[in-house]
Order: sequence, then C-alpha cells, then structure tokens
Amino acid sequence: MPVEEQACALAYEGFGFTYEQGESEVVRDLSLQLSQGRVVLITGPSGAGKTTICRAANGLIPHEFKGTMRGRITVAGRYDSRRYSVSALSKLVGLLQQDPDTQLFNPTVEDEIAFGACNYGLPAETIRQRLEQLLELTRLSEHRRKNPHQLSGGQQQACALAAILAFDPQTLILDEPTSNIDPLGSQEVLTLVARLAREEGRATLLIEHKLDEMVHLVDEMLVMDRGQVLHRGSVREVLEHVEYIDSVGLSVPQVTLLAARLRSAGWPLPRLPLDVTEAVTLLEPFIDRAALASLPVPAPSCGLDSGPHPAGGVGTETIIEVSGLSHVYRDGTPALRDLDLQIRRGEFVAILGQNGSGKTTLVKHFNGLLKPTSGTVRVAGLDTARASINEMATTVGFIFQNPDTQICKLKVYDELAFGLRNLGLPEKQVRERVQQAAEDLEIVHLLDKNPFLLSMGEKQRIAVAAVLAMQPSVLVLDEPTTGQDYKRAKEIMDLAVRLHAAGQTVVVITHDMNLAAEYCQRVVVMANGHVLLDAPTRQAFQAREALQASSLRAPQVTQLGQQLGAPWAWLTVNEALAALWTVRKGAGDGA
Amino acid sequence: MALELSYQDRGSIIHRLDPRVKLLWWLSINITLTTWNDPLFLFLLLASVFAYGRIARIPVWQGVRQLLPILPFVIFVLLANIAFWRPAHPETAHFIGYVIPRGTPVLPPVPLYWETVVFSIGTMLRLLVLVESTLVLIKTVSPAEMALAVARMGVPPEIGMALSMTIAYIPVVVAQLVSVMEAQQSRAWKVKTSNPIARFRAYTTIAIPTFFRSFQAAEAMAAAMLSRGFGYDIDHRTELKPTRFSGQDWVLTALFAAFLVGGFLLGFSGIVQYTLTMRLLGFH
Repeated sequence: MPVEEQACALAYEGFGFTYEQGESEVVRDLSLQLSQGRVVLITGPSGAGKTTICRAANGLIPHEFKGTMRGRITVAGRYDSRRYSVSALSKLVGLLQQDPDTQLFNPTVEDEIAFGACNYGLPAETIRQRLEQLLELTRLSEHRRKNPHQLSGGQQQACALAAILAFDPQTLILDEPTSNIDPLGSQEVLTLVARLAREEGRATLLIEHKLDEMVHLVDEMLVMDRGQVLHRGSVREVLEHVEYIDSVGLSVPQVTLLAARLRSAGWPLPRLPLDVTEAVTLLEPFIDRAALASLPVPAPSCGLDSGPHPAGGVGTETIIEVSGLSHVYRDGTPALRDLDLQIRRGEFVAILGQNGSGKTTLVKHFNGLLKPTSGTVRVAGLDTARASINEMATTVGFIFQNPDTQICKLKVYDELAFGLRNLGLPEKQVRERVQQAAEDLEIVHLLDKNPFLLSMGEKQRIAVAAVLAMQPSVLVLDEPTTGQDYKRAKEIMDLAVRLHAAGQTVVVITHDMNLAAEYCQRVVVMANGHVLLDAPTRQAFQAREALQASSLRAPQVTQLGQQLGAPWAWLTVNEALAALWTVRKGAGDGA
Repeated sequence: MALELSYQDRGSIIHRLDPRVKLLWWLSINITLTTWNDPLFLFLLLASVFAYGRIARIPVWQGVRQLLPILPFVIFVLLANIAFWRPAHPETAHFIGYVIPRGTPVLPPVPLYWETVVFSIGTMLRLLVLVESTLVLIKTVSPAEMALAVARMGVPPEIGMALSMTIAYIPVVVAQLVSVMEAQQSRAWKVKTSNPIARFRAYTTIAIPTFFRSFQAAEAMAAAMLSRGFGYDIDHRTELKPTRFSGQDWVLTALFAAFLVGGFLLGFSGIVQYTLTMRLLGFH
C-alpha cells in the first residue's frame, strides 16, 4: 500500500455543504484527517452537521444527497470523492448509519452480513471465513438463520456493523452506532469498535452522544454546533471545557462536570477526572469520610423518599393495576410472564430494562394496543382488553418515539384536533382544547403551519400537544431520549415534569439512566418479561446487582457516591455537588 | 405482521427449488389468470395457490388473514363490476332487476343480470389469486435469489437487484404502517366501521405518515445499499450458494410450463369463461 494511504485514510479539507433545499451551510470549513488505527469522535447537538459529515465520507454527498459542496474529501490519500461512485468509495470507507432497521434488507443474518462482501466480489471462501468470525465476534452465531428484523435493537446494530466489517474497509464511519442499545450493550459495541481500530489498523470516525462510554476509547474528539467545530483535541483537553459543553446541551460525563464545578468553587483539583475511578482518587483527599457517612438524606420533595424530581402530589388511588399479565406474540415469542404492577395516580415512573426485556410490550397494554394473553390490565378502573378505543384514548396518552409516526394532517391545528374529532366532540370544544394545548406547549404561532415542514423539536411538541389535548389521565412516553440529543431529551422530560406537576401520572420508558435518576420518583426494572426491581429511584439505584442483571448501570454520580462511602444514592450532579460541599474537609471549621 | 410478509426459510421442498422455477409458477398462474374469468375455475386456481403455500409450510390461516386488509378494495372491485359491466347481449341475458331503478333523478338506471354477478365474482377471485400468489412468492423466494433468478433469465442485473430490493422493502413499509396505525389508534382513530366510505377515509389518515416515513426509510435503505457496494460490479458479484437446476426443478418446470400453455389456451379458446358456471347454474 502506498505511503500516503497508510498515513491518511480519509481527509476533509475545508469541507462545507448546503443541501439543495437548505439556505445555509450545515457544515462549514471542516478540516479533519483520519489516520489508520486512530479513533476520532464527533459529538454535538442536533443540527451540528454530524450526519452530513458521515454522508460525505463515502460520497453519498454529493452524489446522492444533492446540494453545494465546498472543499475536498480525499479517500486513501488519492481518491477525490467527487470523482468516484458511492459504491466504489464504500469499499474503502464503510458507513454505518443511524437506525439499523432501514439498513437490514436481507432475509437472514448470514445474507445480511455477506451482502457487501459479495457485491465487492471477494472470494467465496474468504467471505465464509469472515462471516464465521463476525458471527462469533458479534455473538450472532445462534441467530444466523433468523430474519434480521427479528433481532433485538442491540443485535440489529451489531448485525449492521458486521455487514460493514465483512468487506474489510480500511476506514469506518459510525453514525450513532449505539442509539438503540442499553448501557452495557453500548459499552460492548463501542469497545469492540475501538479494539478493531487498534488491532486491524482501521481509521474510525464515531458520532456519539454517550461520552461516558467513549472517554478512554478515542484519540481525538471534536465538539460541533451548527456546522462548526467548537473544540477539538484529546478527550481530556476538550473536556476541560465541560461546563461550556454542558451549557450547549450535550451529555457530558457527570464526574467531569461535577469536578469542574467543584474546581470553580475553589477546590484545587489538578485535573478533571474522566471516569468514576479517577474521580474517586481525585476527590477522596478533600472529603471528610466520617461526615459523609453520617450525611442525612435530603428532604423528599413530594412526600416520598424519591429523588430530586419536581413536586407532584401522589395520591393513594391505584390508576394502573396489572395482575398476572402474560403476553405471547403471534409467532410464539413470550414477551411478558405473570407480571404484577401497580402505579398510583400522580406518580412519575421510569420503566427500565435491557433490549427485549418487555418494556414496550407492557406499556402497549396500558392503552389497549396489545391485549393480554392472560391476566388483566386495569387503567383508571377500565379493563383495557374490553374498553373501547375512545375510552382508552381519553385515559392513556401515548407519545411515540418518533413524531413522524403520529403526524397525519397538513395543518398543525388539524393535527391537534384530530383525536378530539375522533372522539366526536363538538367543534367549539375542539377549538378550546386545541388552543389550550397549543398554549401549554407554546406552539400557538405554528397552528396554521404545515407540520411536515417544521423542525424535529417542533414536531415533537406538536405530537405531545395533540395527545395532551385529549386530556388523558396517564401519559406514556416511549423512549423519549432515543435518537435525540441530550438537550432535546431534557426538553421532553422538562415538559413531562410540567405535566406531572399539574397532576398527570407519567410513565417513561428509557435506557437513559441519568434522565431516569434526575426526573423519576420510582423505577421499575424489567428483565425477561418480568419485574426485577420496583423501588423508589434512590433505593433502586443502590441495587447494583439488580441493575447489572438487566444490563443497566447507575449514573456516574451514584457510583461515585457509593465508592466514596455515601450512605444514600446521589442522583444528580447538583445533589452530589451539595453533598461533597457539605462533607469537604474543614467544612465544620467554617472553611 | 411485517415479518409474515417477508421471506422466511421454512425448509420446505418449495424453498429448495431453483428461484426460476418459483418465478415460473407465479407467471403460469398469473398469465393464465388474464385469460380466465370463470369463477369456478378461478376458485380452484385460488385453492391451488393455497395448496402450494401449504406445501411451502405457510399456514392457510396466515394466507387468509393477509387477504383481509385488501377486502375493502376487493369489495369495491366487485361492486364496480356489478355497476358497470354488462353482458355482450343484454337482450338474451338473465335479468334479475335494477340496482338503480328507472326514473331515479340524476342517476341512470343500472340493470343487474346473473351474467354480471357471475362475471364480477370471477373478477374478484382474479384479484385474490394475484395477491395471494404474489404473497406466496415473496415468502418463498429470498430477495437475493430473486435478483439472481432474473439475472439468469437475461434481465439486466440492475433491474434484478432493484426488483429484489423492492421485495425486501415490503416488510419495512408494513412495519411503518403498523407503528403509524398504533399511533393513530392511541388518538381514538377507528377503522373498524361497517361503512366502506368511512373505512376508506380512515385509511387515508394513515396514508400520509406512512408515506412520509416510508419515503424516509427508502432514502436510508438506498443509501445503506450503496454504502455496501450495491451496483459496484454486478457481473462479478460473488454467489455464496450457487444454485443448480436439479431433476426436481426440471419436473416442476415442465409441469408449470404445461399448465401455462394449457391454461392460456383453454382461456384463449373461450372454454374457461364465465358462461361455464352459468351453464352449471342452469342458465342456458
């Protein structure tokens, strides 16, 4: 291989791009070189231009996504992306896009993995050997004859990744490769990617929001916003700006942010920690262990020992009662087994669990989308197996992950009125409720607009408003954080908090432990179709073994508190900050 | 639901056949179909499709259930035929009565004949055979096999791949449709109404988001295919499981070819026409 190919697998020189329908550049003046064996991470909020950078790597931009491209992208030191086709460039630059669902189109896992290698005409024996290796590596051997759409989200992502690795491109571009995977599964995939980069000398560009899991895996990190690079350097150099990065709405390692705030408050920390172990070493000398051990639990904010979530009155009335619920899908897959659960009116509950644990199947029983194979589900006194669609729609509001699934009208007003008209309400009442929901969600100015032409954030608000207009007693949010950046995920959760404060019962399905810790009063952990743990949030996050059994992990600050010897679980950075400030050495002397 | 509409290797004798034989089966059924309109023969043809599916280990109930969503369209076709199709010689046809009586304001009178009823049922059965045979084909030929099959039949490889990817796209669209329907049901959207017009309108509600999401999915899938070398050098694509024509394939090819020729000739010569059932019903 020529020297220049070894030196630079992919180079962006002054890259900028404006989509055909766009008014301004989504990426501006990006210069970046990917060398073999190195892993580069790009992170940034929605609209930062991350996906555009990925699409340009193998020529999808400018060949398939039309627009105006500035600068130059060179593959393997000599192939100008403007002059070669996507399929030719992809032989050298493997691109894994977001959402594995749309990237799996072969009838079996084997066919899926071999597809690219066959297209490039690799020898059949080589493909077979590589197939076996990849099936082993991604732990898909036992699923090799399954349809990829039968796999769990994590397995689908592993399959899509194996399909790229099968033709052995020298550069890998991975656009949010763990967006659908539970925390431990994410760690496994990212570790695998980094290992392959080192062992096989592959240049790797990763787009990720989950910095906690990345800090020791990447060589260089870029933080982008609105098409421009805000910070770049080693992870440690970039995270020196952690407070700023947090302020633009990115998820940052909690212990780094905590240490930065302590340093701002005067703690003489020599550097910022990147993980929990380093944080323990750095912070331990400043802490009075005896004071920490006797630190009182903060006063609960709403009558429960729950957490730093907002106030909201929890009644004694059970609003959701699940008894002996089992569900077997039509293909014979058992999803829920003899499950019991009660949720009281006004609670804010997180349902957590690894991929395929039965979370979504459970909540689809709450509004009758699924009927129990055995057992009963009663919501606000209604048996969901027997209640009418109207009754269920006014009792349980279901907010889907992707607002594009829900939006069906060409005017925002009609979208908000859709459910109300389905209920047969008089037009005057429809008007009043639409207006109220639009005011609550601050979208009155959008009522005459076409929702399909609005931003994703605006669509999300419209989808929520359309559900709220129906005034349901229970609000269910299905994975509100998946595929969203941290800022948008927080916006949705803040919205849920406002509704909860107004008396709504809120049930959230999520993989995001930080958000569950910050917002929810109670945590239900599921595994293999049953409830593994059901406890107030603070108590649940102390139960390390139960969380691990469900491929989950407590937030970094909770782990830090546990390792420092805190008697109760810290749930947020602010809570950890307050606790550490209280127990700092010399605090009792008025220092 | 989405997976039921995609290829699944059930290990049956049908699944082991060369894909060209399966394509020939589908062609023999559907070309013959164009020349037949006798409900009795078409019913037998439909039964044969179910039997073929059963040999491929596809449960009959699954095939029947998958026809249910197209029933409103099938009924629409039936009613449209009853309203507009007339026998070639109405003066000798067997008159039943008027669907729209004479003297109805604005609307012209619509007479109804036994010939119309029998022919319309035949048309409806044609549609069911077409849909069911296509579903069976999709479930028994993998998209990759399909691409190879048409390439070996002399069709440009790009067209073969495009065809196979279209088939692969079906379960993706169905999955989008299911999630859109669930989202709308959560807002009291009802499709289970006996009024066909209301039902039609209800379906238009889900068409917009399904189209929008399917368009997004198609764009992502096309990008994913190109990013995995689709079209790179299609003539030198590696075949992991090169298929060979076995004795079984030759026998069935002969059988399906004979059916195609025989069925077409029977239809073309006017033997398998609705008049056959008319005679069996005692109308001369």
